[in-house]
Amino acid sequence: MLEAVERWFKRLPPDERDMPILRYKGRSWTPRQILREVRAGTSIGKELQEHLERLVLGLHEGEIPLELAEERLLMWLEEFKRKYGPKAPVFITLTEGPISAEELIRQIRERRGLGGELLETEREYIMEMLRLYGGE
Amino acid sequence: MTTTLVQLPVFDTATSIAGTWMADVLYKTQDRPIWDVLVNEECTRENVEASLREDYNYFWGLGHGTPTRFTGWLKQTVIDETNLSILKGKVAHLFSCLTGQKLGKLIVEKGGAKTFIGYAKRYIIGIGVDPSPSSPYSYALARLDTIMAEAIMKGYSVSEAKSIREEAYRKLMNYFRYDAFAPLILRALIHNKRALVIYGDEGVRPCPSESEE
Repeated sequence: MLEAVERWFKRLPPDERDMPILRYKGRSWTPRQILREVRAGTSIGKELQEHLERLVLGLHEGEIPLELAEERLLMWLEEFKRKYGPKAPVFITLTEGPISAEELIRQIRERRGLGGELLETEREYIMEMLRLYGGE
Repeated sequence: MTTTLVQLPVFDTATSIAGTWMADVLYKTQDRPIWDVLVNEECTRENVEASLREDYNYFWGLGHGTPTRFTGWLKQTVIDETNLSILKGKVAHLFSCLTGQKLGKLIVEKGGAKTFIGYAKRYIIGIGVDPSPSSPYSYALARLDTIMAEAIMKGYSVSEAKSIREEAYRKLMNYFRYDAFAPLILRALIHNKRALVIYGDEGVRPCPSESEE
């Protein structure tokens, strides 16, 4: 069973390994934290793996909490800001042209514009990462 | 037989990227006389209306968009609620943000178009760390639209073109999964995939295949 989590961890893009991937017992867990608990054979590790497997089996978007999507997006954009600067464009859209990390963060918090739309996108992105557990 | 009218205005970063890859599709299909194209200053309401009065079955237009307006050169309005009937009986494919929210439905329901293909969200056409039109990221993002137009111009139905796009999406996701900018490009691909909306008849085949010509 440990192998399944190790295989999933290796399949994940490196940037994803320290990003929150699921919520369990009131907090977010990253793949690295889940792997650490499973490797250590803790009871929470066992529960996390069971939760992960349940989630992957009957996966649909509604099961991905919006707070998790927001937490991930904000973490990722803060990191982007740190690396490239607050004014550096993240995406270019056909209507608005270049949009900076700073502006996207504002839009996510205010649930508007591309930032607001990205919250839904993020749920599917999380599902893509969870599906790697099954071996796709 | 010329079945397709293309609107191709290039005047800013976003239209440069999208325009590059639309032009690539036109280049690839230039051996068959299936399209006419309006470029840059030609992309006005008057020119599009006059051209669409001719016998085109398929309109593929690049432009900026809002839920109620589709634009052309320098963001001039080309299609809105007042001239929907210019698309009557045609397949309207708008490569723009947001027109799928409202205008697309009106084009079919009030304008009498057979089908509308467009986007209900903002369309991400580039990533900031490598925004050049020739970057693989720009290509991949544009490709989620251009591959449908290419398929339709080759004689596939709208529904078949959608399936071809879905296959391309899957391949692009796998290709970029371990890319240095994976968090950017994967999010953008998912976003664009989800943004697509199609209203009306998906079985329609507006252009003949090579063997039918």
